[in-house]
Amino acid sequence: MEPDSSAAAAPDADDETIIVRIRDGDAEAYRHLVRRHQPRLFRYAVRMTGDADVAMDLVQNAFIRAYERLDQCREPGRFGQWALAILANESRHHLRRRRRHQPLDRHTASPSPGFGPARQAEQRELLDILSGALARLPVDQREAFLLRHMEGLSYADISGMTGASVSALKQRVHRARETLEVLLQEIR
Amino acid sequence: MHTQLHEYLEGDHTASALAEELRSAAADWDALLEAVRTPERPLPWLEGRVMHAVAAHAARPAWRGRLRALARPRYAAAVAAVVVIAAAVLLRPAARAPSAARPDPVDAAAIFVQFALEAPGARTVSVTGSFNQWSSRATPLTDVDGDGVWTALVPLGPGVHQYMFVVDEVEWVTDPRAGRYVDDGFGRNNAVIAVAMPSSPAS
Repeated sequence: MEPDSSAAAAPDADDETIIVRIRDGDAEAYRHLVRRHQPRLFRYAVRMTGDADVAMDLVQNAFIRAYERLDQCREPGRFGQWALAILANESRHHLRRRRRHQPLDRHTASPSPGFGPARQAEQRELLDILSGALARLPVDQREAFLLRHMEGLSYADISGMTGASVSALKQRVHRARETLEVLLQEIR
Repeated sequence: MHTQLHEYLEGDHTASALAEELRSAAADWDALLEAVRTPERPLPWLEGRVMHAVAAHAARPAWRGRLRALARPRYAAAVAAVVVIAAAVLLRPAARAPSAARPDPVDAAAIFVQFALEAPGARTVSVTGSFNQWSSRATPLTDVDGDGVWTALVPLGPGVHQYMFVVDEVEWVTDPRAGRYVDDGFGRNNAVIAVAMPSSPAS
């Protein structure tokens, strides 16, 4: 059947519709998925690695891998989370290969443009403090903390993404919070 | 760190339910988490780079390329094992998979493959895979004699297909008897089945 070209051109089409288009041979439709989900993926990669350059490469690779594996995307309506799972795996492998924590000061954080200058400065300060703290967390704890508290995912979803048990994930998030709490006490 | 603060961060308590001395700490945590969630600026060039790589695959879409690669002779042993496990029971040229939406001439013929899963006590079992657009409801299995073995005959086109079983509509189960698996990107494995057409159709 000939694809409906109007759907392919619609950037507001839902993920599932776009993926059907891609599977029907409209590779260009993938652009909409990249545009839609890259802010979320880049934020995750930046927080995980603390290095904007590395984060860019990881996000780029994750999107390409997601395209190559699109036939394995079982829930097209949740493409964003599926792509995030691929990115999380890539980020974890990257950090384990690196085997050391690098200072998370290479990335210039970008506070929400909607906030005024004072609020942006406050947010930037918090982000800088946070980046330093995240860098001191073990990779597994950092990953679990970000997926839970930044992405707002359930433990069951994180377990599905990472392969770790729910109880192990709860423990990682708990320990991450304990570590970060110490830092918060220092700045209060 | 106080247990109530952990519970607050898990959404078990509202701030007003916290002890007075913990509310300031809770507010600090709220500010920190707001900072964590601060959106990042879009990367305008990223889209172009990704699409450049995608365009390189466009003439040979990646999933088809991978399937073709798996079907090369060097995988023949693995492929043969999977076909035996899947028990191709009937050859019928010109049959077409119900979900064969992809315009691919190799789907002009299909082999009926029997999928089977031991799932005593299950209410429903279905098979979902690359051959039915990963629909978890399109291809139900049945257990007509109540022995806990659920089966379905499914027409598949030639090529390599990935699949999983879905039990009671929620539990995704990897076929324990598949001869080949691939990482599904979610920390589990999809089973792989290869379907090859014989050189001369059965009469």
